[in-house]
Amino acid sequence: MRRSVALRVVQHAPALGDVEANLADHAARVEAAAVAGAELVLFSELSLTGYALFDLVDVVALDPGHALWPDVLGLSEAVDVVVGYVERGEDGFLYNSAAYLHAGELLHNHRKTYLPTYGPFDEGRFYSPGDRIEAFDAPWGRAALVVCEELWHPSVVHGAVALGATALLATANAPGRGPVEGAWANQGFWREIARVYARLYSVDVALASRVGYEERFLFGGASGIWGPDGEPRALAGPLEEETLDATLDAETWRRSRVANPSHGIERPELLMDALRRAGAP
Amino acid sequence: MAGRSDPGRNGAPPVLDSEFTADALGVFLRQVLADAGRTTFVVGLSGGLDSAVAAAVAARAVGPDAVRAFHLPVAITPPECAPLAGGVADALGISLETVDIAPLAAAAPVPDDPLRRGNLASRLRMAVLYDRAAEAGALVLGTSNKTEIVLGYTTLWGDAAADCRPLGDLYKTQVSAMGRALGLPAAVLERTPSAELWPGQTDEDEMGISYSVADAVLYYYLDLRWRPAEIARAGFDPAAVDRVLSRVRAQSHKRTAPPIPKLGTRTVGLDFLHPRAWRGPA
Repeated sequence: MRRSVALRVVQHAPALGDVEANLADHAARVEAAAVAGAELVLFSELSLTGYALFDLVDVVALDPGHALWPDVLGLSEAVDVVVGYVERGEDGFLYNSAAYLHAGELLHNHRKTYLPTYGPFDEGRFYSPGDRIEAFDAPWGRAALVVCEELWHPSVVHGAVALGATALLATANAPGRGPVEGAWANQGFWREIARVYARLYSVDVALASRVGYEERFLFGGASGIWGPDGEPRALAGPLEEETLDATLDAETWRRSRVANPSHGIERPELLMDALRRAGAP
Repeated sequence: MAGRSDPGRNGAPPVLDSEFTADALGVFLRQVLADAGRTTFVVGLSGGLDSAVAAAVAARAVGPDAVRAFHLPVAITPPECAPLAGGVADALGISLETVDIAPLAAAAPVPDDPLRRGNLASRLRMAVLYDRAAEAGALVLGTSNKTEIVLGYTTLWGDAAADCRPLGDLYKTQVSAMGRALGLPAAVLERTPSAELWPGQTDEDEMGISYSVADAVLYYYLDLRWRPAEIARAGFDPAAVDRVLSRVRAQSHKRTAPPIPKLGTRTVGLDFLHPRAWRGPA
């Protein structure tokens, strides 16, 4: 059953291609978060490597045999930590992955299933896609890791919630577009979908979205934490490094599930039937 | 909230938040310097709008002491340009040095063809700026806007050459709005845009189209992906639409790196792809 957890979302700018420097930076931020009372620290997508890696994906990739892997796991000795990294799988292929670390161990690993390869994005060229929508049991309740583009696929969120997720821990590297009215225009939509998921599914949604500049991308920040009632608990700005603190409150989750049981009365057979008739295998 | 997918009034590109845009460009400019291990920009200050806005954004981002401006006149440079450049430098609190490149231009074996002399002047300015950048351990701040980049209204390896181009995704009319918001001198804001290629030359006369129409057509075509016929149906003169889009097609070589034919296993820019700058191991 859910219990409350004190979350810190880190909105920052990693050093491109420098895993060692980013690890040291992560360690300092995790330590500060622990001192501030956080039990869980959420970093952004590819937080250990930066985003615009191109061919460097092979250089920065991590696996359990990597010399730096113990330091990655060690981030979570005092508090739980979610990091983004380039994973070299046992199959030798590279994945854009997020890892939930707990008590010095890898509790759950998620490989990004939808790799944007359109517009300014070219991820499908450098990574292999993950093949599973998943939820997992964190020490405080069932959760799902959702990486950037996946948040734009309601099927991923629907599947994660169907698998029991009560909180979405989302990470992103979203370039800002449209500098209007004190913010990036496109970040408004990120916030809308996060809020809608939170309200529709009665789940906590936390989004760690990076800032900074790499290779023509000005990343748009606008990280946030929304409660299962759809209300924002904390919102970050569009340009600067920031931390957001909020408790993912078990009582609010309980009340929201009772007040809005729409997902609880979901009839998956209707969706399965529609998908089959639409040609899904 | 207005966005990039929302045409502004009269089909113009959206009105941007100039303060926020300048702040965002500040993030860009500081990172570009950090990536290069440099602390300073050099910029050519013509007395026109684009270089003034570029210098203003840079001065705001890294401080006026970290921006060194150079005014680089040739014989046909109108006399009002120097005081205009001086006014911008004074307003921004940045240093300004005038380097008369007229003797260099006069000595070059280039005939008295306005276009060729104009390109020569632009490339001589580039050479001086890169030399001064080397002297100061600085980067060259580009001043090109999106309109001139897309229309190829630029000199390859001249004004198009720079270490970064902070205004390169802002249409000319958006750069003008930035200039107003950043408080640049009125004389610069109100001046008719000119590349100073020859006496009395103006950009709009030479291109045969106004910036406001060019920006609107480009915004529909490029940002919103409208087809030319749709743009014309939205109220634009079909001949003007054609003139703009013909330039887009004819000048595309100026927007891409010179091609390298693939011969080896991995080819620079094609399948040997590294970031422009990174901090970790190779």
